[in-house]
Amino acid sequence: MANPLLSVTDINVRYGDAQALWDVSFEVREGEVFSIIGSNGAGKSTILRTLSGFLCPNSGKIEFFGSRVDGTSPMAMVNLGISLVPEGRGLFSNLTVLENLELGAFPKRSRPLKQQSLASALSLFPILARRQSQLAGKMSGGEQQMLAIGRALMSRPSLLMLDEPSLGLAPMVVKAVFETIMILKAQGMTILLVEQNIHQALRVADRACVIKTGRITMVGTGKELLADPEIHRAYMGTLR
Amino acid sequence: MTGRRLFPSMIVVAACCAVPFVFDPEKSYLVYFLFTASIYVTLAQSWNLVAGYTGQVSLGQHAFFGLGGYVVAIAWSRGLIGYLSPMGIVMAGVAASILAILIGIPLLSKLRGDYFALGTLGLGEILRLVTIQGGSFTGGPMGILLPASSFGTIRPHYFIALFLAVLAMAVSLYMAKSYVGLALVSIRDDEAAAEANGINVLKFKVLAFAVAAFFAGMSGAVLANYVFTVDPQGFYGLNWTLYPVLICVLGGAGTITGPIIGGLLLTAVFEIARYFLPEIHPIFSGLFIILAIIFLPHGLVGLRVRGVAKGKGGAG
Amino acid sequence: MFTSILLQVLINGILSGTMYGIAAIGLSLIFGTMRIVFIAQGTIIILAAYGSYWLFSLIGIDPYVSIIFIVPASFILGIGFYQGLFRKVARAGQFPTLLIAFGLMALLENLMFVMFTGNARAVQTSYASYALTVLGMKISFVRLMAFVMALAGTAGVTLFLKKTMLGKAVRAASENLGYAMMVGITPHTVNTITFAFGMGLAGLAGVATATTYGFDPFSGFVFSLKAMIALAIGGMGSVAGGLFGGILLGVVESYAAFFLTGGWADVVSYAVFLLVLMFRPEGLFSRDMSAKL
Repeated sequence: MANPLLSVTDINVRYGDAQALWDVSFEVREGEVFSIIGSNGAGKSTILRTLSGFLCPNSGKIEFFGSRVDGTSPMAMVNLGISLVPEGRGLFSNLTVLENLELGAFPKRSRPLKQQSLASALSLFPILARRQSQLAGKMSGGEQQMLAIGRALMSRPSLLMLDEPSLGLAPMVVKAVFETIMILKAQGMTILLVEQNIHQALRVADRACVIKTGRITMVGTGKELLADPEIHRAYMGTLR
Repeated sequence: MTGRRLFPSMIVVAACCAVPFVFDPEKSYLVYFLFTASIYVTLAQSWNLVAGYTGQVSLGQHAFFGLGGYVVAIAWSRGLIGYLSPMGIVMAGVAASILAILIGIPLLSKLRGDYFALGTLGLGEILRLVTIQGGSFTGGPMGILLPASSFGTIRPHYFIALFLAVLAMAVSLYMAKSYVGLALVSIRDDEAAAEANGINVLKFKVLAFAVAAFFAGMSGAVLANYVFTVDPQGFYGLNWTLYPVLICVLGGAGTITGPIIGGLLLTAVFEIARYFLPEIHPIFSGLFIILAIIFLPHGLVGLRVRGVAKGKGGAG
Repeated sequence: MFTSILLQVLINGILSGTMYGIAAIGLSLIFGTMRIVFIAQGTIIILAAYGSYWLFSLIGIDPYVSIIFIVPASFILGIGFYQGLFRKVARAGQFPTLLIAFGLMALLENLMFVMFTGNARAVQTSYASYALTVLGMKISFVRLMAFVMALAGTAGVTLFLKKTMLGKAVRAASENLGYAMMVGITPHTVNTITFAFGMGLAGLAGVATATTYGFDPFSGFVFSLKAMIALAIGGMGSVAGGLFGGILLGVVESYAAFFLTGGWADVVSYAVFLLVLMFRPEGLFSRDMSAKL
């Protein structure tokens, strides 16, 4: 079996005296969609913050393509090829759509390919091409999500991480977002997805895990977890 | 401060009280030195309270210092109070606190610390300019001359200054150990969290600011009594903010002993510089602040000076 | 007749206001990325003014020519200041950074006082008192030139911010540093840039000051305060706001000086400042799309 793209081993993260993550381990394989599901406050965002370099784990290791990356700065992470679409989209509201996209290619390794990346982002999201000079802050939620993903792609990442992409979006728009995720996967992108929308998250996932109060409680394929009765009971209420 | 540390402090205070009796105040330099140091320490403790403990960077202590000096001068020159009148000094402090409350409420209710810092800076300037325009009421640019003939010996000045310094320390200590102190520190560390925990953030910020102003005003009053003159440049000068800041940064803001050590050190350095290098000595204050912050970020006493960089944007 | 005098006062106000504006823009840039108000800005302007003065007095270089030396020198000085003084403490937060700025101001002021004495200086060129007459109003040549310089500086900075990748990075970081880091923008990089530009603008303002006003080592503090007032009026973190705030301040001052005696004009300025800070701190011109800070 090929080496995993991302390997997280026994990381513990503390905020002062409060511990947010306990011995969290998982791996993400090249070309797959890996979903992390769990309720609010379970630690999903903490994982992404740690993986993107904003937090340094107190113990444990994170390996990307086999090399240690725990404790690296967020800027260095992007340069290595890990790109984050944060919760709330992370856009620069006072800058235009085009400027936001251009800044996505700020990391050195992605600068030479900027025009190419721009072309593919605009073809993936035609709506952005139409609204290039509009201020990012003036767009709808769905459009902003597209822009956020487009911008993250501009850095030509090897691993794309999405923090709650469905948050605050209408069901139709959520559908479109997850379709985009499937398209990206078909293009060969490795995706780490953190979501509250359990159903969608598991539907698109090759593999997934459940996090509860800072610990990983279940790991399996998307289909397995989707069918699991415990998950139904805990997270999906009377949906089925 | 536990009982363990209380005893040595009392010894130190007692020793300080004994100094003007052991050494001849007219001939000994030590008395003057400790007098000056006491005023600086009081000012530093006051700034410490509002900036070190509460995290609000006030750059306007000189406004309250000057106001205190002028209140005493104006009252004295009109015969309302006399030489070294305790009521005059207290009045000066109260006037300063009232001003602090009036300005503090609107300024501190905004979430941004910079507005507060700028506002206090502007306050000092306004008071200075208004004083210059004040005509015969404030003595204009020349200031007010007070009857120097009342001066007997430095002793009463010394004890008042010492008392003030000890009082400032005691109040700081009390506030630090009590619920008030806890509230202030939690405001410094995370305002939003403090608010969420039910702490009336504005009330405590204004309280710290008013107490700081109180001591700054009284310090100004004490100095006015000693130098027998007040003038806009001397009493509303930015130095009266610069020095306490420097002292706290050198000694360690957010502690009780920091300002004391810093105050003694600073007075010593200034006096030495003034003696040996009279022309250059004003440069040192600025240089020291810079060096102290870069190389001694925790001050000599070693407690962290918390930044206020939260939310969007940041300094680094 | 009276209206033409009022108009004259207005023009003078606008002309002097742009000087405050350009100082304010420098402050605004630095504030955007480092979230501190760089109190030493005015003192740096005075430092540059001394530079221009000494270049003229000792070597005979015309102040407008001295711009070629002074602005790039200020730019480099800005990089040096950041790397030398602020870089290490930037991480520690706003509090220490603010204090270093404060210390720097005190240091420079007193250094200049010791080196150059406290006597007021001004560059007295042969054309210093030359005035143009436009539409029946007298406009001082040097003031007009200062106005032009300020506009040029503003245009330069605006072009940089709008058209270059680094400029866009600065705008992005000013809006949200965390998000900027996510696209690979390093805080130290944008901090250095804004500092350099801030100092460059200060250099420009310094030359303008040297030609139009008398100055001494301690004028810098007041200049900083005026720039802060301009920024508070115009809206922190906004380039256009800084310029407009400066002009508005200049006009208010000009009229206040005209109608009120002596030092009261300054009191009016500070009073306006305090009022704005207390009741509308986001400034009069703020149009930020992201949520109010």
